[in-house]
Amino acid sequence: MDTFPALVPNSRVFTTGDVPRTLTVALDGNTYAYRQGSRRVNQTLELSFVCLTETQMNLIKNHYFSCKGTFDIFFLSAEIWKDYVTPPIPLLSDYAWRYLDTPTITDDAVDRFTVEVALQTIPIDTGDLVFDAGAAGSSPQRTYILDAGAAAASPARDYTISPPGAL
Amino acid sequence: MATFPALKPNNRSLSLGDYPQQEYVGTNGVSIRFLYNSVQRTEQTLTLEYRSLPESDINAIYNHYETQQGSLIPFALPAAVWAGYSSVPISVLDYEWRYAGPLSITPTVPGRFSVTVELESNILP
Repeated sequence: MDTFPALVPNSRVFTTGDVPRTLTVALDGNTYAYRQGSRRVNQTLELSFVCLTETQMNLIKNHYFSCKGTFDIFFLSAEIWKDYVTPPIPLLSDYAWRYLDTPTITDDAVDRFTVEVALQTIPIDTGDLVFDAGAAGSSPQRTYILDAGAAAASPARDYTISPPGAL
Repeated sequence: MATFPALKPNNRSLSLGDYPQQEYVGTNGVSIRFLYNSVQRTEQTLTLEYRSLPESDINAIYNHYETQQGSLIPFALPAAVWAGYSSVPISVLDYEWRYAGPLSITPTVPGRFSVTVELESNILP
């Protein structure tokens, strides 16, 4: 799992998402809400990086490719939350991130680029199963290290999902 | 395969596409995803903007659009389109391009025209 490149964004929009729930309005007008999960979904982070060099732009581009686009998950570096004393989403938590959409690269000036990135949180400790049908797996394809928010020497959870018959 | 005219764009926007996959999201927000191709991406788009081209250059683009029968036939991009990059971001060995939509040609001053070209990548077989 690659960490997002340590670049400070020029603009950052964080959307807090919501707890998964269903609202039902009874005939008498009362509203009843049913919670379907304990953690928020649809938390998004829009990042804009202006006037990056080609080397910096390639860091983001290559990270997107190594994550197989919107498929794989990753954690953010501290630079992304620069100016926050406490990031709204801890760097190492039971939320990981993935690309919500394809990054867009626009030319600014000669050899300078603007990159727009949209990310979304993924709750990962309750069975975020990822099937990689394209590769044989002799080792775990996904290792999530979750230890109450702190770095762990050994993974607290391993999910090994391989093509049929490979395990 | 007729290569796109070797003209440097005035503005360029590249969208990196995505790897083919299917996602199923449960009611509690947890998702399961299936990856169908871990090597090649789809729906990469490239928007090229040309400003104040002479009529001969506009005709080169327009004739190329006609030769490719609009969005039907894919083609390669010349190095001039990627001017400013030290290495081409989308490999010519893996992808070719198709017109994603019709051309929009606007006259600017007498004898000069602007055109916006939208392209979509095509995985090379």
